Amino acid sequence: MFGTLLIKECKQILKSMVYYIYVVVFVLFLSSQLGGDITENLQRPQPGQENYGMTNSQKESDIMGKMLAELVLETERNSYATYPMGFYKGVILNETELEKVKAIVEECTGKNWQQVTGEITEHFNSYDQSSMEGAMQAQVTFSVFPRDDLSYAEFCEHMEEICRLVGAGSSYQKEKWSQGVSVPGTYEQAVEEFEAICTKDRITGAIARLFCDYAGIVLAILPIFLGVTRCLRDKRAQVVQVVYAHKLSTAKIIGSRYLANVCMAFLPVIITLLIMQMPYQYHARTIGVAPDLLAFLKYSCIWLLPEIMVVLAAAFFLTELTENVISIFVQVFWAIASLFSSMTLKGSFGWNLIARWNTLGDTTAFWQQRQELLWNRGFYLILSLVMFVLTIVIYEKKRREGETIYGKIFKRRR
Amino acid sequence: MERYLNAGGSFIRRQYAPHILLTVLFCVMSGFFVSFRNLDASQAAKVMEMYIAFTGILLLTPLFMPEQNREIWLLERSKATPLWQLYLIRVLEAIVLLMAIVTVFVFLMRQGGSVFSVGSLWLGSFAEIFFLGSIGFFVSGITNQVILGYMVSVLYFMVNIGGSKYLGKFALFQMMKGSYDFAALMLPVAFLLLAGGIVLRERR
Amino acid sequence: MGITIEIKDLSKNFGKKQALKHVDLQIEQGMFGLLGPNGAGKTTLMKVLTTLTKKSGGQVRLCGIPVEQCGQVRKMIGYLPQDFSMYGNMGAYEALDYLAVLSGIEKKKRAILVPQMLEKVNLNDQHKTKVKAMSGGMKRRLGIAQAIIHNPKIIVVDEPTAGLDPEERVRFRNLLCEIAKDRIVILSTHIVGDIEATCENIAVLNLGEILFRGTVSELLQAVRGKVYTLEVSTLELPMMQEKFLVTGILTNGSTANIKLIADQAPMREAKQAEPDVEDAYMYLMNHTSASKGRE
Repeated sequence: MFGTLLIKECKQILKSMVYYIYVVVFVLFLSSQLGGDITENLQRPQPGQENYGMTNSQKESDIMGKMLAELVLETERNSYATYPMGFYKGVILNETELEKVKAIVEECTGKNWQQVTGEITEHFNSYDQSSMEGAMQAQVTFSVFPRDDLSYAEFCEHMEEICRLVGAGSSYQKEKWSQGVSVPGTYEQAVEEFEAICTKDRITGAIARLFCDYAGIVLAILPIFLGVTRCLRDKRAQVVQVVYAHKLSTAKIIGSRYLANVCMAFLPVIITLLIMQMPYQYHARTIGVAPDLLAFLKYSCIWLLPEIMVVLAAAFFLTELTENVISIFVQVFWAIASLFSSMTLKGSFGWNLIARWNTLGDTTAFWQQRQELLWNRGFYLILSLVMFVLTIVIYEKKRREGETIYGKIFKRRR
Repeated sequence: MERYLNAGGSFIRRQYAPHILLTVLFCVMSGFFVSFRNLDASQAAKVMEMYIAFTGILLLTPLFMPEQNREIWLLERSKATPLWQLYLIRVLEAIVLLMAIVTVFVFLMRQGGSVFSVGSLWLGSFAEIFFLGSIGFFVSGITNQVILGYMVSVLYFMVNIGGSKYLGKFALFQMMKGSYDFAALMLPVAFLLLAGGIVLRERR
Repeated sequence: MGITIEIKDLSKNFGKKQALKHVDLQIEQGMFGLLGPNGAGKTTLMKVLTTLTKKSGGQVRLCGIPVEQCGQVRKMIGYLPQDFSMYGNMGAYEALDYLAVLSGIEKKKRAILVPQMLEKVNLNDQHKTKVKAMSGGMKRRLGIAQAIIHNPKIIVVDEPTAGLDPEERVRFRNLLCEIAKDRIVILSTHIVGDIEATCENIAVLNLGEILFRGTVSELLQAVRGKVYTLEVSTLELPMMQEKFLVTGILTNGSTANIKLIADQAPMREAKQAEPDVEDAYMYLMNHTSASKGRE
C-alpha cells in the first residue's frame, strides 16, 4: 500500500510546475558553473614550473607571516571581514582603534607604518595588477615578516588584542588560524598532491567533490519549495478533512509524501552528475588512472542526500506546523546564512548546512577533514529523521484534534 | 476615496499584517548581521543589496494571496470596484513601505558615520529592491501560486551571487561594483512587471 | 455486534463555547437525519463520529468500538465533508483511486471497485474529467463514491445537497437511500426537504442539544391539529407574522394565503391543514426558543 501511494505521490510531483523549475534551475546552475573543462590543469607537475599551487601549512613562521600580511592589508583598507553570526559583517574602525591596530603591526614587524605600507605598494606593483592571474598571484605571495625576536606567544597575545578591537568572528581568532594557513607549494608537494588525486580520488572523486560543492549551494534552497508546495496542497485543494478521515496511518501518509519528494529531488541530481562526470572518466584514462566509476554516486549520497533530506524535512515540519509559507523565509535565511558563513570555500565543515570544497583536488587536506564532513552529514541525517518524526506527530495531532495549538492562537476558523 | 482607504486598511489588517511583521522583524535583526558604522559607498551598497533586498520579496510577492482562493476572486470580481484598483492600492501600500524601509536604512548608515551619496544610494537601492519584489509579484500574479512567486524571486537573487554576468543591466548587486546607472532601466521594467502581472492575471 | 452507534453524554467544548452539551443518541441501521439550523453543532457531532475532532466528555461507540480507537473506526466509516474537494489536476478515476489507496484497498480490488463505483454514481463516462472542471453535483457524486468504496458500515454525509440543483438533489437522495440498505447513513442538513424525502429516523439539534429524537411521524404528531391555512389581505401580513408562527405565504394580488401554526384556531375563517416536516421543525424550533426565553 505504501509503495502504491509513493508512486502516486511521485506522479503528482511530476505534474507540478515547481518541480520543473527545480530541475531546470538545478541543471542550468551546475552547467553554468562547471560547463567548461575543469581538468585542464590536471597534469603531472614538471620541475621548473612557475608555481605549484597552494598548500596548507601549520608552521608557526608561516602562520605569523600570513596573518600579519592579512592584518596589514585589512588595516590599510580599514575594513575587517568578520562573521559574528555566520553572516559577513565588514567592520570599520574609528581613528583611535585604528591607531591601536597600527601600533600592534609596528610592534610585531619592528617597522613603522609608513615602511609597512611602502612594502605593500612595492609588492603589488611588481605584479601585473590588470590581469586576474597577476592580482591573485600578488595576493597569495604577499607575506609580512615579523621582527626576528617576536615569539609565537607574543604573537598570540597581539592577535587576541586585535580580536578585542575588531569584534567577534574575525580571521584573527586563534581557532581559525591554528588550523593552518595557505602558502605557495613546492614541486615536491605538488607531486605528492598529484599522486594523492590519482590514487585516493582516482580523478573522478575530486571531480565529484567539486560538483557536490556547487550542487550543495542550490540544494539548500530548491527543495524548500517542493516541500512547502506539497504540504500546502491539501489545504489549497480542500482535501484535508477527506484525507484525515481515511484509514491509512499518518506515518504512511506523511512517509510516502516525504520519501516521494526526497526521491524526486535526488533523481535529477544523480542523473546530472552521472552525465557531467562522464568526460572526466575518459580524462582519467588518458593520464593513466583507472577512474572510480561510482565516485559521483558515493559523494552525492553522502554529501547531497542528507542536505536534501534535512531541507525537505524542515519544510514539511514547519509547514505542517504553521500551515503557511513562513518556512520559505526561515529556510532561505538559513541557507543564505550558511552560504555566507563558510569562512573558507574549502573545508571547515563545522555544522554548516552547505558543505564547501571549492577546489579541484587538495586531496590530502580533504581526507584529513573527511571525518568532520561525515559527522556533519550524519548530524543532518539524524536531524532530518527527527523533524520527520515530529511532522508525523503534528499531523497526527491535527488529524485527531481538528486543529493545532498554533491554529488556535492565530487562525479564526469559519 | 473613502472606499479605497477602507479597502487598503482592511487588506493590511486582515491579510498583510503578518507579512509586514515579518519584514519588520527581518529589518530589526539586521543589526546582528550587518554593520551600519563607518561604511564606504560600496559597503553601504552591500548592506542594501544583499540584505535589505529581501524586503522587496517579502512585501510585494504576497499581494495576491487573498485572491488565490477562486471563490474570493470571483466574488470580488463581481463587485463595482474593479479588481485592478484593489491591487493598485496594495501595490501602493507596499511601495510606501519599501520607500520607508530604504529611507530608514540610508538614514541609519548616515548616522553611523558612513560616507556615500545619499541620493544615488537611495534611488539605486529602491530600484533594485522594488525590481526584485516585482518579479515575485509578477510570477505569483500570473501563476496564481504565491509559492512560485517566492521561488522565482529568491532564485533570481541566488543566480546573481554566481552568475550576474549573464543578466546585464538587470543584474543585482551593481552598486557594490560602483555602477549606479541601472536604475533608469530597472524602475520602468519593475513597473511594467507590476502592470503586466495585474493585467495578465485578470485576463485568465 | 450489530450496526449501531451509541452516543452517551457527549460534550465538546471549543474554549468556553460549548458546541455539544450532553448529547445522548442511539442510531440504528438505515438512514438517519440530523436536522438543525446552521451552527447547531451538527458538523461538530459528525467530526466526533469520524475521529476528526476529540470529544471533551462522554462516550461514543461505533458498532461497539470506542471512537478513541481511530484506526479501527476509520476502517468502518466513510465520510463526505460539507465542502468535499480533491486535487484539481486529478481526473475522476485517478482521484478515486488515490483515495481508495488511502483506505487501504489492494490493487486488484481497486481495479474492479473504482470503475464500479464511478458507474454507481453515474460518472462512468467521466473517468478523465479533471476535478477542477467538475460541477458541484459531479464533485458530490465523486465524494459519495469515495465514501462508500471501502464498503464501510457507517457513512457520514455533511450537508449533502447544498449547492445542488433540484434534479441533482433528487438523484443524490435516491443514491443515498440505495446505499443505506445494509448500513447506517447519517445525513446532516438544514434543508428540511432532504430529511422528509429520505429519513425515517431523525434527531433535531439546536445549540448543541438534542431537541427531538424519533421518527418523522412522531415529529409530525406534535403539530397535528395546530396547522391552519388562512386568507388575509396583504396589509395584514406583518401583523400576522408578528402574532403567529407563519410557515408559508402565497400572495395572490391583494390577498395572501398563509399557513401558520397556533395552538388554537386564530380566526374563525382559519382551516386546519395537514402538517409537513417543515411546519413541525419550525414549531419545534420556535417552541424551544420561546421556552428558553422564559427561563
